[in-house]
Amino acid sequence: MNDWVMARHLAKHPGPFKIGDRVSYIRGGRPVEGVITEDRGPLGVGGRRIYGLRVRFDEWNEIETEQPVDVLTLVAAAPANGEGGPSRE
Amino acid sequence: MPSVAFHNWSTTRAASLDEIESAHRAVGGTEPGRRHATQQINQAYALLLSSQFQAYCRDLHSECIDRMFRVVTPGGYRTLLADEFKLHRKLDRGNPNPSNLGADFNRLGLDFWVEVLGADARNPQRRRLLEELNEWRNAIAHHDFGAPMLRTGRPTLHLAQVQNWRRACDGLAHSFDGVMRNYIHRASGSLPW
Repeated sequence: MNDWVMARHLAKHPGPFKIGDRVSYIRGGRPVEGVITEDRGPLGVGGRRIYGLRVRFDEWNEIETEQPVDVLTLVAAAPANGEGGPSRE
Repeated sequence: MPSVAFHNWSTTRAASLDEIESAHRAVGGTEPGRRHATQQINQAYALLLSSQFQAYCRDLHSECIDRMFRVVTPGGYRTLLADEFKLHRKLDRGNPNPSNLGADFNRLGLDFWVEVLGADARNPQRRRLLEELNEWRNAIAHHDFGAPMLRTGRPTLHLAQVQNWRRACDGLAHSFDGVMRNYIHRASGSLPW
């Protein structure tokens, strides 16, 4: 998503995760890991934040999905020049 | 109370679109160069309108999924369902044209356009205008203008036309919000927003 199309209040009020963070969640009974690709804002029930993430199950299977903040657990923070960050250049 | 998506559409997204209309007004003067500059702004305005409307529709779709599946237990099935309903979502990649909108929202279990067209007598015309906006959006983005878009050999888009598309998007955004609210209420017994 174009960074300039995102609602501006998202930049002013960042959530607990940032783009490039590695997170995990329980999917159908087993934990899976993914990388945060987008902060979708407080679209969830009661204003909970939704994040876009890319989940790679194996070498051939990858999905792009969204999950609410309360099911996600931080595995590793994004490096300083983390992948997937929007560019304003 | 509207959805978060509709609230954002009518506040922050509307403000962004207002800014480009202000840019159009700021290009003053009567020289021939003005017409060229405003033409560029009108085309940029059409692109941004389509982009903001796509973002609104995508937000609404995400919001609906979170509300529809919040009652599913155990939580591991809830996340699995959410993954499945967002898999290959057309609004993540494609334009917010009527076909893509129908494909994504129909997967939630309703006959989306039947309900939207029935919600307001003006919606058939608004849907036609949305198709027209996306035809122009593609033509501008790919520099591939059909003959009806050309005047004296050049693509010509007037501000009034973009404003007309924006009013259509406003009307459709309001109807989408109401249709999805009523659908989730019917299906779950509780109001989603």
